Amino acid sequence: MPQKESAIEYKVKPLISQWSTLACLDYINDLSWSPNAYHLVSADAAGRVIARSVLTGYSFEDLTAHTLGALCVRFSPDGNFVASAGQDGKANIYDSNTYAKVATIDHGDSWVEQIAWHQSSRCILTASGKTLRLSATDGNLIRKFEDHKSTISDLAWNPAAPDLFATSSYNGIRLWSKDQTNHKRLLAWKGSLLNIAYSPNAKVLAAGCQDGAAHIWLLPSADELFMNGYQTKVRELSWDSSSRYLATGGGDQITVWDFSGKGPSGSKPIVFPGHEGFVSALSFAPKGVMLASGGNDGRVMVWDVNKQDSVFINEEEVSRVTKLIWNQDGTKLAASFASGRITLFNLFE
Amino acid sequence: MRTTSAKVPVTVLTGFLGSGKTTLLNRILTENHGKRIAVIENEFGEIGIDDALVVKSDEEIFEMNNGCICCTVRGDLIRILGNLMRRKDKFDYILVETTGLADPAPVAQTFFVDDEIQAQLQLDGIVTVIDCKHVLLHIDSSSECKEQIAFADVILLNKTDLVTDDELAQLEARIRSMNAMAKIYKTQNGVIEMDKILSVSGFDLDKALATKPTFLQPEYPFEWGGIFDFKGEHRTLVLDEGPDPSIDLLLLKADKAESADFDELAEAAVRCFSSNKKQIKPGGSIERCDQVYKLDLTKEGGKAFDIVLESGRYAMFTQHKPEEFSLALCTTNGTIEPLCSITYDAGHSHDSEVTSVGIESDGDLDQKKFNSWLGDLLREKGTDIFRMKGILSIAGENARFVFQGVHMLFDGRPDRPWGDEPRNNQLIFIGRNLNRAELVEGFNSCLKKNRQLSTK
Repeated sequence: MPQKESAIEYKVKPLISQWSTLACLDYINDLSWSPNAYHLVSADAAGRVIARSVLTGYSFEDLTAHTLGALCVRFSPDGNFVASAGQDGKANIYDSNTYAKVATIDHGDSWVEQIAWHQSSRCILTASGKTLRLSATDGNLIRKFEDHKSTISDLAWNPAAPDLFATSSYNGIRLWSKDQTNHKRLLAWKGSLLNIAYSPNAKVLAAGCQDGAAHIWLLPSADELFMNGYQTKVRELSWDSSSRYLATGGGDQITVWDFSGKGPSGSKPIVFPGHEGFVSALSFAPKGVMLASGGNDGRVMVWDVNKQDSVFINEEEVSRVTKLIWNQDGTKLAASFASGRITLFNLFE
Repeated sequence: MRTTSAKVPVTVLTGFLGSGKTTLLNRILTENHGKRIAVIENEFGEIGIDDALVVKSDEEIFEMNNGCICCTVRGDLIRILGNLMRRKDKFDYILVETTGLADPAPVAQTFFVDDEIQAQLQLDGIVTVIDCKHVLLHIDSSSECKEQIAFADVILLNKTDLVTDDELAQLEARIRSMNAMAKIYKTQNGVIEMDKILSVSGFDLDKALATKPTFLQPEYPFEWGGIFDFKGEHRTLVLDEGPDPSIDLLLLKADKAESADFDELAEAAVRCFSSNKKQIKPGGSIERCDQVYKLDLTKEGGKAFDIVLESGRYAMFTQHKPEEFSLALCTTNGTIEPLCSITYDAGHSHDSEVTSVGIESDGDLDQKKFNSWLGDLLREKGTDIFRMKGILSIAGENARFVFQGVHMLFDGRPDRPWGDEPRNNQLIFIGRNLNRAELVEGFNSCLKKNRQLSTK
């Protein structure tokens, strides 16, 4: 059973217990830390991109960026830029010092639903429908990747090979090099793939499926593992930093697969029940084996995978947890909610 | 979320290119109904209303690996609807327009399969718009056309001004034989009251089968109707020998004499035809309205039946076409001709591919047997069963059991108690190559006590 706050050995001290933007309380679609953890930017369903100072809570900019809904926002790895994208069919790039818009990448009519910065911070992938573009920070198109037969549901850079990336869509995952227009390899799987997660060592590629399953490829062999029997579609995937554990949602409990030794095939996963209602967000801390989880019940929990128990629970909110993100050193956890609230937890000091 | 708010209804609009779908959509959006409507339009759509939110979408059909071979969903709808529901200024209503050649199954199934969609949205109904003039070009050759008719909760026979009354009646009878559950309206330029197409609760279990008392009547039990003014003395019905040994005949009081009035009269006539028929021999009298008479024609030569009814306007419905029996209405002053008439194409020559099978029966069902029968049926024939609905009387249960399904996806639960209402079972299947006898027999074998079973 989950333990209450008082029982944990870590210092839990909400730094700023909650941020609610005053005039607008909209569903937060995405959230991103600046690498130095001074700023937090959010993208919401009303189309706003808002950057805040973590120390003061002061809201820097309220950019009416994507009139019909902002879907994603991401600091560049070097912290110099913020990119956002949304239902207006555009991706914007801002200078993070001034929050002045420095470039716009135009995808036409269709929603831009995925963005991902290259490790160098010099270029960014943006996807809308079947269209995928690689653009420089000035917005200039570097390459268009045109092999997709259906909407790109997710994209991820390969953590071990900076110029390679993967995209998921219906019936498979495509592996690409940023320097080639056509994909290098297709990992076919007949089904609707919703998202992808590379293990940090890039030896495993995990995908969540619409039909209550997670599908795993071991690389480079592309041997496959099937994890079936989830209650709902699997939207939530997160790897721990050692590439040993893969946490998956897909129902009202968290299922953690252990990839050590011969696992996870033939092994029983670790299961964490603790949410009333479906799990909606999962995120492993950047170091260690602390796993943050959020649910449709609004609960935010942190689990110690080694102890197989929860170490933190917060029940202040009742609306869905939409995003959970750790800062780079793993000391702060930010949670965003469907109500528009953002709560910061200062977990490890 | 702990707080549950009412689900937002979604209406799916299908119909072939040129059927008048876009005109209807524009009409819905401009009508002053006070609803905030969002429209998800296919990529060829062309509506442009400023204050409505219109999202264009590529129809992306995804097969599911959940062991259900016919289970497909619209991937694009899952993404778009999920996102729309995050907006604070939520919509009161969502309309999904499909492309002309779309199969409605994936759209409908999306609302059963995805947990996020299910939690927030309720599929209200499938509205199919039909171009009366051109539908006959597709109806035999196109499976999409048949599916759009078979899946519908509401069918608009649009562009009625381009066909004759006879053609329209024949088309309606044919469509009725394919889908006995849908409400059918005749329209021109898509003009129709909004409450006939929006919020019809076609997939609402609470209202399963509640909408139409005669829905189980897949076809008209008569082939011809006419309106007469009864004047003069000694009205007699005169018939010759015909292809059958008897003919069923009904007289109803009528007010007006326009072909548009046949709709209401025909509904009343259908009800009368389902009651007991009174057999009379030549020389006998027709003394009542609302009573179906079975006229015995076995006697050789011409036959006459007296009509003992006061003067006035009457509608006559006959089981077969009058000319087959040289039927004539005579008075001392000569024959009376109908003011107007209508021909109903009577079922048996219809589309055998897509049909409705309605089962209505007294008695209680053995739940175990019924579950196993329906389970087997859906496993084997799920691809061919487009939609089904039912209210069941389960042995030992006080509450009505209501269910509905699309292909192999099934949704059912106990409803309100029967109370004073007489317990019985009503269910309907709409599908391709349905075997009525087999379905009835299968259902019959699940009845606890083997009481009388009637099918219509």
